[in-house]
Amino acid sequence: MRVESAIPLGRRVVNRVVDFLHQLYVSIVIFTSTGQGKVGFGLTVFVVALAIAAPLFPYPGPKWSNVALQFIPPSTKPSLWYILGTDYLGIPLLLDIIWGLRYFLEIGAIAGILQVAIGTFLGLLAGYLGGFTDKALNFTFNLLLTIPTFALWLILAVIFRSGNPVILGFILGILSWAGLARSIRAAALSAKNRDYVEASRLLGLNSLSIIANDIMPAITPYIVMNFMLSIVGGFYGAMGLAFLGLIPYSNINWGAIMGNAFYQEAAIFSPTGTIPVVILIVVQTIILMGFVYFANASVYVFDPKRRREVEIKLASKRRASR
Amino acid sequence: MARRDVINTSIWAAKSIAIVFAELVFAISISFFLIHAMPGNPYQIILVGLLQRGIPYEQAKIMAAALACYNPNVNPIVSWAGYMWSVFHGNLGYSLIYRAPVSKIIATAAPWTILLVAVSLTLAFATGYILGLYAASKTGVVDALINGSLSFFQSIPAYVLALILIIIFGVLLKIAPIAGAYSSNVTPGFTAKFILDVMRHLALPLLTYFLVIFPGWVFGTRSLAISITREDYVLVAKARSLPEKRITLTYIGKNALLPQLTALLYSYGLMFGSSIFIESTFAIPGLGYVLAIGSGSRDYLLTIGSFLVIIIAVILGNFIADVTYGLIDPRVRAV
Repeated sequence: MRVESAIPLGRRVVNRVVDFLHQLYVSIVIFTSTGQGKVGFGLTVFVVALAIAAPLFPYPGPKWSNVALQFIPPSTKPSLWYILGTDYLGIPLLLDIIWGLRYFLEIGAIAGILQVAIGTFLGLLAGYLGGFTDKALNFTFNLLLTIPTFALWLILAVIFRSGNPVILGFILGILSWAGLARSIRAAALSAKNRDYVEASRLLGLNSLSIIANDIMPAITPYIVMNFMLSIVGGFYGAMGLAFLGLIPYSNINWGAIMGNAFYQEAAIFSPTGTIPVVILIVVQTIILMGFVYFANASVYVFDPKRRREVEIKLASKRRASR
Repeated sequence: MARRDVINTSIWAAKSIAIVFAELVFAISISFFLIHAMPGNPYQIILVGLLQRGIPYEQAKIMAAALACYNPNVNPIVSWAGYMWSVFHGNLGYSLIYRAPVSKIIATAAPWTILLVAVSLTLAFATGYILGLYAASKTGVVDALINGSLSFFQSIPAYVLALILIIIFGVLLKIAPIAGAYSSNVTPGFTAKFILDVMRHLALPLLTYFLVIFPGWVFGTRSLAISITREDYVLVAKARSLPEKRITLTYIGKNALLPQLTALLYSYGLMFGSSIFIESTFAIPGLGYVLAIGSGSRDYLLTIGSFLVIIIAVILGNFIADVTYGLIDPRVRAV
């Protein structure tokens, strides 16, 4: 501590930033070292960028709706937006897809943030404090895990009758943190008994710094993986609710387009009607696969052994280039 | 020693039963609060319906409270206790769209779900276990291929997979019926014709279910088998240059089987919750379908009733898994 305060503040901040950037670089190197990681990383970055950039594209509102252009196959005729054809309202499918990404990611991100916040906090609390708190909290986790999350989500979504991403994400996040809390509790319990945590405690460091510096690194993979999977869950769920017609129709929810094609219009029985459904199926499969790959590959990033190997390799490369 | 064993076992049994009871009370309470939260509560709707049929107000009030198994006009705690009481007596209220007791509807719906879940889960477990062992024993291309294709199946939601199968087999090839559990011209009964018809109708839903859940079993078995491969006794077996097949089947396979069997027992309960999409897409009149129909048409008691039955199935499934696990592995009871 005393040594650190001898270094001027500005220098310390710069050091921190440089260190963070270096860690980020190492993470990306590890990420992209496997085929799955490459695909997952590339797709996820692309999808998130597209979702953030969605406002640059025109919103596929009612004014785009045109009965004459109902599910036309891909063409460039009216304008370039029609490159993927149209949905069942005559709205360009490309715009539906881009704005839909934003919609689904909003749900997933809200659910993920809530889930990670509640799950991490309660899991750490249970694992670190132990004793009666742990017993009571663990009992609660197990109790909540017996409830089929999706069924309850469906019922609540129907009560609110809303396709609003904030509401849907909030409900999903509130319902689905128990699994994460339980795995974090288990990880915290096993981390607590490791030698280095014991050493930190003997050094008299406070609980907060032990949790931040010693236990957090062990549980970060769970958190990242759960966050990614909750985004996938948001996709699955919100699309499914709309597919069954349980939330109000919205053309930026791909599930609504697919469900409409299947249940109401029976459009999948006509040759041109299958095209939008097939395009949506392909698009959502690619995107979800990207997320699943990302989640699978993220485990390696936090493997300290892997990190050290990569650090050494990078250092030797730097030396060789000099 | 033997007496201590008996005491330990009975403590363990009492504890498990107490936990099951607590879970049941919790689940029913959640259902109760959901009914409370519903806009335009079911009691009111049933009451209005009875009054329209010309039943006197005082009598209608009593009948509505019985049919809704929930009375908002008394103290909430009394109302909660009343609900708890009627649920434990098998009264889940009255369905508005089916015009029948909810418990009756669920009794006719449950066999379909049980059939779907049991068959597909057992098949998925068996094939997943074999394929997982195979993937673990082969490294390189085969492993990567299995891994990649399974990630692909994992990323498709059940209803989308159902839609793909419907488009391929129902619309393009026209070889399988795409909706319903049996044809309308076949009378249900224990006849060969009916059973064949049901099998034809359930082929696609079963295939969907199977494809959705079996990647998980392959992954589970594979990672388990890989971790067992690092054990010393496997290394010794390899050093003795035993045949590859024997190592995979006896040394790794048998040791991977027990945890996977336990996981299978736990999954039977959990699977009920995931039946909503597949049953709704294929219009199989099971629990998930009833739940979706009920919530889509605002039939609250039917929705909550089927939800409650699904939770109870999960709780009982877990309990049975706990008990059998305790029988298989005595270490659990000692806790």
